[in-house]
Amino acid sequence: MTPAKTGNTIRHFRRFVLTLSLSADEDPIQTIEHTAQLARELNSDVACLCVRDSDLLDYAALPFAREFSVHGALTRPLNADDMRNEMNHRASSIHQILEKLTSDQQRQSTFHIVDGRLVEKAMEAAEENDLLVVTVASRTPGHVGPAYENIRRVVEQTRRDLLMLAGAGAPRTGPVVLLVDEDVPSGRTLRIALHVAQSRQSGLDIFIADDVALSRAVRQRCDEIFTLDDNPAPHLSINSLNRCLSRPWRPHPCSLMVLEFDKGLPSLGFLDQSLRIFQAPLLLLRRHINESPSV
Amino acid sequence: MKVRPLKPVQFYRPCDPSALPFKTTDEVMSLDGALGQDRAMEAIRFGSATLAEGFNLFLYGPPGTGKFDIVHRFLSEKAAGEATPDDWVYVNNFDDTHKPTAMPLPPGRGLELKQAIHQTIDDIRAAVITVFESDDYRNRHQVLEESYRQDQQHAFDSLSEAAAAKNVALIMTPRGFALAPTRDGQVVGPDVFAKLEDAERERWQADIKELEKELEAIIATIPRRTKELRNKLQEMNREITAYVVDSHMSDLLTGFGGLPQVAVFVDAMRADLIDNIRTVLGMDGDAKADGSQLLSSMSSNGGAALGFGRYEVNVVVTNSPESGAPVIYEDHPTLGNLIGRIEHVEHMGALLTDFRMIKPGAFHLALGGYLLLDARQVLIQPFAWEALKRTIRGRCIKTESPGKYLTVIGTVSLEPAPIPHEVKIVLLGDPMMYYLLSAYDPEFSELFKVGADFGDRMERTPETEKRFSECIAMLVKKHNMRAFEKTAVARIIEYSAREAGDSERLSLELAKIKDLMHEADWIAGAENSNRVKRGHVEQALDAARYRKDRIRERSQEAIQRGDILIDTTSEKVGQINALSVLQIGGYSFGRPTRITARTWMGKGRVIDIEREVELGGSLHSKGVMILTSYLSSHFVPGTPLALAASLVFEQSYGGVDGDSASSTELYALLSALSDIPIKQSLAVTGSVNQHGLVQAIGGVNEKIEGFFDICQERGLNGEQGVLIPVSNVKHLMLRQDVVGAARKGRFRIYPVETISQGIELLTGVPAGIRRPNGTFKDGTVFAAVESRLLGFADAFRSFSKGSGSGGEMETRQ
Repeated sequence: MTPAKTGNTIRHFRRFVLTLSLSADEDPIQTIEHTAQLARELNSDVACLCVRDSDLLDYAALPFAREFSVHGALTRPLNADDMRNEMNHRASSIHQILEKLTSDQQRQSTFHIVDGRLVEKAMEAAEENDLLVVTVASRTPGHVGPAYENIRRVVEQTRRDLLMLAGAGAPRTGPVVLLVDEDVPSGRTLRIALHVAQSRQSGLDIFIADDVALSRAVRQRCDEIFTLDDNPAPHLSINSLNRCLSRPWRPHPCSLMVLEFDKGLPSLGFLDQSLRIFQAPLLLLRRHINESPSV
Repeated sequence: MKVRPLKPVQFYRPCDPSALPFKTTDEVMSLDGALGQDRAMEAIRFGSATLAEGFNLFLYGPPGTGKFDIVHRFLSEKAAGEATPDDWVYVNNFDDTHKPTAMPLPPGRGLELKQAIHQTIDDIRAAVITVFESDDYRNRHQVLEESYRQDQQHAFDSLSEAAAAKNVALIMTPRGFALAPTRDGQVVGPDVFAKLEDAERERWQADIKELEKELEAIIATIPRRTKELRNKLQEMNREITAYVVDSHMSDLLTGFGGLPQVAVFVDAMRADLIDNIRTVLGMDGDAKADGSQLLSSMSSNGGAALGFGRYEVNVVVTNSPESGAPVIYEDHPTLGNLIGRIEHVEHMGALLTDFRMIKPGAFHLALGGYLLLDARQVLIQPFAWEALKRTIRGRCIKTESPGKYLTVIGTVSLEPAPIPHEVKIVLLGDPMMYYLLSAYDPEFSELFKVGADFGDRMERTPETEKRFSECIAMLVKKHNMRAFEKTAVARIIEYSAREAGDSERLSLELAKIKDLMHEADWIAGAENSNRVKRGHVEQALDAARYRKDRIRERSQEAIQRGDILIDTTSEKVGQINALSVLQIGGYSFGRPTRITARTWMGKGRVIDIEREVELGGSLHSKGVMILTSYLSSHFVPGTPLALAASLVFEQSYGGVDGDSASSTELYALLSALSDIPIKQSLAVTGSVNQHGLVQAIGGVNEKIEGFFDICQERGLNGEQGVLIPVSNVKHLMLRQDVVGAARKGRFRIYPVETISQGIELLTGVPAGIRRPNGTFKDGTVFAAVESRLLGFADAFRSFSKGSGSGGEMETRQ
């Protein structure tokens, strides 16, 4: 997608869509904070789609429906009406949080509640919006695990860019990290990463796979892009991706990861490692083939 | 017998410089010991040597007698030869961090241990961090965690597969999981489920029930597996830490071999390190190096500091080997300064502390030695006196927070282990304080059994004058003054006698001597003299007197200008010059005061006007009663005393006390009764007893000089002088101008033993002796007095008969 120009501001994404499951136990505040922050930096609007899990509602309507809690092995009977009310109450809280954060940051926002399956609704929402924000509701923070297949389906079928939040915690200061595994990132990806780094007044750390030619090409591309930009270039550091990934126990916290992919979603292992090491939201950007390498 | 005036040589006892065997103080050995304080020194020697319980010392005596200097010098010399006490340190008590452990160490080894442990901990910290950050450790850690996660995931995956085989799906709910029936990948809703055959419904429910049991079992294992993981990680950490710690601790123990207490502590330290290494390093995932954890760590652990600080050594007492026992003077003996204090740091509104915040007090510093305290200072500090007694009684130093005494709500704080002590306490104070404490504090006599009584004067003999010279030489050297010539030394000795108010005594209030010497030294320097001469001392005395003399000059001026009526010539009936001493700001001077007496018929009462208006003190009243008794016992025997009289100190508007003017008052009364005038050229001082004997008084030199100054200013006519009690003659150390006037016959001093002698001198009329027939010879003072009293008695009798009242008269005893 070609970024639009609004006045003197480049708008890479018109609107983010954040899909949230109303049956998840996680606190949505951090998710909404990350989304709103990035939307402001990229001059985008936010749409929030809360999904009442129809499978869960259907199950809760069954007479023998029971929930097994992981906290203390307790069980409780489920009731569809109660479950629906619980979801609606949660949706109301989410709506309030969304309004507060987006109005503080002067962004437009919309809010909808639907019944259905999260993945399907996410894919439907992706038709109307530019960037899909998904959360990974895993019992193990930083671990994509069972959600990987669903995310892969969404990515392949929607052809949209993705912001993945998997237990990243509250927004923090820190550098923007750009992961380069195989190919030189496109100018679009570099500009987005640069733009966010400048907005956050932080550095840009590029982690490149151990390939001399690739590394050289990335440096050259960075020089070209940064030269064209009117704003001062952020502090740039080039690091070894292989070395970093080989030490998953040495965290390198940052404020945002950016990864460009071509055909398919990167592997589960790669995603897991990256999330564990960098502990930040992951912005997955599709490579646009028709884009001129030097913009 | 006629009283003869004193010879001028009796007015002043000089010190003969030729008797001093030196030219200047440079040649004099400094005083060895204390001057004139044999009694006190004996007490100090005994009290400082005995180890029996309760034999602490209380030194009491007038200020300026050198109590502190003497005892400090004595104890310092004694302590230098005594054993050096142990060092003491506080260390963390890992079993109960509210109660830090006190540990004695040989002198000088406290700091050594502190540094050794500090270094060891630094080394261990660096080594352990390296190990914990190594790839090998992190890999092992990751493997354990991943294994746990995979086990858990595998269990859920297996269940999901088993469930799928039975058309059941494991779905996530807000707080956990549920098992829902599915068909074609979709959860079966209530409508569809209701339409199923009973058998199918029951089968499904049965399958779900079976699977739920498995789900419950899996969930039930989560806490156990989590705990297992935690234990495995802990065991790994312990193993790694023990290896590192043991390799560093062995050197530490070698350095402090033969000290079992150190070995015990090092052992406890080792165990604590191994058990808590990750917490100490702040490496745990939940550990945040911020104040909240600091707070919880310090407060919940009763003061154990976060991090490696918990292994530090707090040295509270350190002594150099061979330094001897300590002699400590605490000049601000607050509770904390005496027994130590526990300091706190403020953090986010809470007060935090740990064993490192224990600070020593004077008791700690004096362990094994001597502690000198000013008694008054201790008494005025809140809680200090009780703490002092408690510490002495308990023979241990218990450092406590003063908050404990002030609050009714118990708060968590430190309770450091008490440190046993062998400290000799030396309190310094004045005699009144000693006596009050002895009378009113029942514990005082038990804890301070040795009182060292410092005198304020000593006998003046050629030998003691030499000793005094040695004392002066000591002060010269101690305060880096110029050498004093022997004539200057002699003058100082004379000054000392004047300060003692006795020509046969020397004052031991060395503070004043020292001040005089400082001033004389300064004057010598101002005159570019490299020695202090007699003249410098005289100048210093004059200057000091001049600085304080304004009030006296004003008083003299008032008399000279006639504002205050004082006659120094002629004669008057019932009027006499009395002498008094005023003390203002440490300066005393004499001043004459007119006493007048009036007599009339009455009921035998002498009115003391000063007492009537409450300006007279009890001692003054006593004197008036005594002279009244003298009158009634010496005159008109067998006849009631029909006398009324009044006595007053004219133009005196301040308080009057003491009986030193009672003889003067009696003379005025006798003059008034006899109608025989008293010479105003004479002034009188002396108290009288019921038998008419004149008794000694104080301040005789100042009193004489006070009258002399008035007479001298008006012009001495050779008639002026002072009557003093004969027992005061030995106290005379008068100014040289008074001596000079006496030599010229311009001024006299009469020593008086009885009232009879005095009245003869004052009136020039014989006093009179009662004859065998019971009467006095006509023409004597006493005859005139008795005649008057008899007349009063007759008149009173007649008056009483005439009025028919019967007339009660005061009967004589």
